[in-house]
Amino acid sequence: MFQQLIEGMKIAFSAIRSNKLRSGLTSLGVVIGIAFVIFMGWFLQGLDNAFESAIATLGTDVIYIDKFDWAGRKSWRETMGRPDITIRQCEELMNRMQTAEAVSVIGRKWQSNIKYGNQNYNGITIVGANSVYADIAAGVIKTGRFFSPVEDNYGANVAVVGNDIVKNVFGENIDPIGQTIKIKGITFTVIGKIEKQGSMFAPPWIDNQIIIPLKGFLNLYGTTNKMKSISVAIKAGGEENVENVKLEAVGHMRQIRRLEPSEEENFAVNESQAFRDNIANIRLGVWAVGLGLTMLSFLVGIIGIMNIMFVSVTERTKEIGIRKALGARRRSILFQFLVEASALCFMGAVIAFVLCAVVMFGITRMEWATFLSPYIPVNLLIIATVVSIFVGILAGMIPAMRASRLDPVDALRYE
Amino acid sequence: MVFMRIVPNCKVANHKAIHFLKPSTTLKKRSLFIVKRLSMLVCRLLNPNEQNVHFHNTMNSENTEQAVLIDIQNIAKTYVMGEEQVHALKDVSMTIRKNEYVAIMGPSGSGKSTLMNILGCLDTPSKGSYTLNGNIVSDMDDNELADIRNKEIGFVFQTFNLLPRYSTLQNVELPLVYAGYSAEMRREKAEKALLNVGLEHRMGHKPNELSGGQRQRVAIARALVNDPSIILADEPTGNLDSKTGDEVMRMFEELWEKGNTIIVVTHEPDIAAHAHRVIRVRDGLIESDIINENYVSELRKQEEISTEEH
Ligand SMILES: Nc1ncnc2c1ncn2[C@@H]1O[C@H](COP(=O)(O)OP(=O)(O)O)[C@@H](O)[C@H]1O
Ligand SMILES: [Mg+2]
Repeated sequence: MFQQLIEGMKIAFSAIRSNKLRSGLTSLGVVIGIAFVIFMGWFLQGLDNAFESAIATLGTDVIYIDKFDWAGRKSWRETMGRPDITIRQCEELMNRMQTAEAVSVIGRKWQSNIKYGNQNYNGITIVGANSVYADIAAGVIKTGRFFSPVEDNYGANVAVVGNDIVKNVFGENIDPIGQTIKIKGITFTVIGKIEKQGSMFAPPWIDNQIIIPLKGFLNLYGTTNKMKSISVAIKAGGEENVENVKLEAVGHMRQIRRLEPSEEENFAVNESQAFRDNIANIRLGVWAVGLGLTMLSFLVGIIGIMNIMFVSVTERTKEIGIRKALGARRRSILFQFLVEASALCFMGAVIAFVLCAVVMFGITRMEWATFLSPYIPVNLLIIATVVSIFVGILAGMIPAMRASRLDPVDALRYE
Repeated sequence: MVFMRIVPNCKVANHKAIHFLKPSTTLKKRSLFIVKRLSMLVCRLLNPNEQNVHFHNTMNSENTEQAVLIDIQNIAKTYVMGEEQVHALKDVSMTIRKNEYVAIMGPSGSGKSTLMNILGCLDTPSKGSYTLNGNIVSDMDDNELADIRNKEIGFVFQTFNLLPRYSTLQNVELPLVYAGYSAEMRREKAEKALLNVGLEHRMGHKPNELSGGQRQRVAIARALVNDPSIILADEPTGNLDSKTGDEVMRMFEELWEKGNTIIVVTHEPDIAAHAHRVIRVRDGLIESDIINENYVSELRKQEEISTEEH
């Protein structure tokens, strides 16, 4: 069997080589089909990776007690009517939580200004948090450190900065650690720098934030909810604990807010999982379009290859007759032409690989596409190879069967 | 082989031959087999005077003790072309023993090629039985016929029928591919076969780089490479000039001397004159079957030439 395969391959490749142009044109449909498969898979994988990393920036086992729902069915009017979450409520909740691994209050002030040297920078998100926020969702500290519990307690004027801040404010050449910036006139010393987190699905400000101790934040922007958001991030400590922690947090919040058992919650419990629905829809869209186009091009490819195989069989009728006279069984002839069709398709796949590799590399140079990997994933290569061979067998089956059933006498007489 | 057969010595009593069927044989095959036998019997009864008169003359004296290799009985082949039926072979019976050198002659359209295709297991008869080297070929399916062609028959065609993209060596290896030999074994055997026909220096050449005579020698090497029981040649010199034609005939003679069985189909008397037995076919029937005592020997000719030169 293996020997037959080798033999079949040799025959197939010499047949393909003897008719390069035709072979090339024939496999065009397959090239496009395989390219679609690769692109689709590549894009979906990029999408998934981006999504996973976005979830990671929020923490997969972190819930957020918030005024607004991230994703949901609640009407805007209803959520707008909810009472704000106050800093007192946050602290109360923080104190009551038993089962959570870490709890931090998070205050966010959007579109703030800072001053570095003589230069003003705006559009920056200032985040106030507790020191444990480092373990919850602050991202990975690339250089320097996060602020300590002590600094948190007395509200030290220290700051941890996001990747874009480093890029836009300090510039790539200056080490941000030890630099000072001014927020509302107060001087903060940069002590840490967070690794780049941004990706397609992450909040757009995620790399453009400056994290300072909560106390300092409240001093700067006040304790009321005006023009800023306050929420509580609760790390469950493992995805399996999320449900319990959620129940506990909701229980405490209802008590803190003195809700009757019959009343609905007037606060949101958000978790990163809520985004899964969104991504599922995008995935489905990509799949539907990609699959449709793939099918179409494969159909064209199959018809093309089938056609060329019919021509090949007719052209080589005499050869088939000779092979049969020398003792080739039907199966051998069938096999020979199936291998040839598969080899054609495989060749198409290889061309598609090269094409895709080039185009992908080009695309990932672009700003919006940084969430995509510049390489073809190995599993896609394997899938595409298998698919191409399968398509070859599908397209080659009928011509190969015709070849194998040729009458040896008739075939030998053919000129 | 699926079928076993005991052939009694008496040819005329052939229809009484006892056939043993393997128990695994399917019902369909059995019934087909019985129907074929019966139809043969009916055929015989209807044409009693068509019994082969030549039969007892046909035994080549030097070969009578050799085993029967080919035994065809009441073979008929009918082609259906629309409404019309062409009886290419009507009723042909003959036996050929091991190491015979036979020419099949006849005018164009007489049925030589049809007979040759049946003998070569490329085609199956419409009627009659064919036993080749103990195997009942007339009842075989496609795969069995392919295997028989591979192992028992070596074809030499008028148009050489080499694969143009293959080298000499690859062409000769081809029957061994289908016989399932390993690559090394194939190479070894093919090289030996090419050495036998004196083409060991042309192994890498493609057919279009060879002369007609050389191509036919490649074809002969290919025919021999799997040690077949018979060499079947259909007009082997038809595309060659008379000198290279004689060379090919000398090669056949050498093969015959080594113990091979050779059947040459030809319409040229010059070529048929090399055979030791000449069977004439006309209108799908055997016209005559005679022993050619004064056959032309290329080897003898060569000897004479070389002695004359001295
Ligand atoms: N495949 C076929 N279909 C129909 N008629 C055929 C076929 N092959 C041969 N014949 C007919 O059978 C007869 C014998 O043909 P053939 O055996 O080729 O003769 P020869 O080889 O002696 O010239 C001819 O009349 C030919 O036309
Ligand atoms: Mg003929």
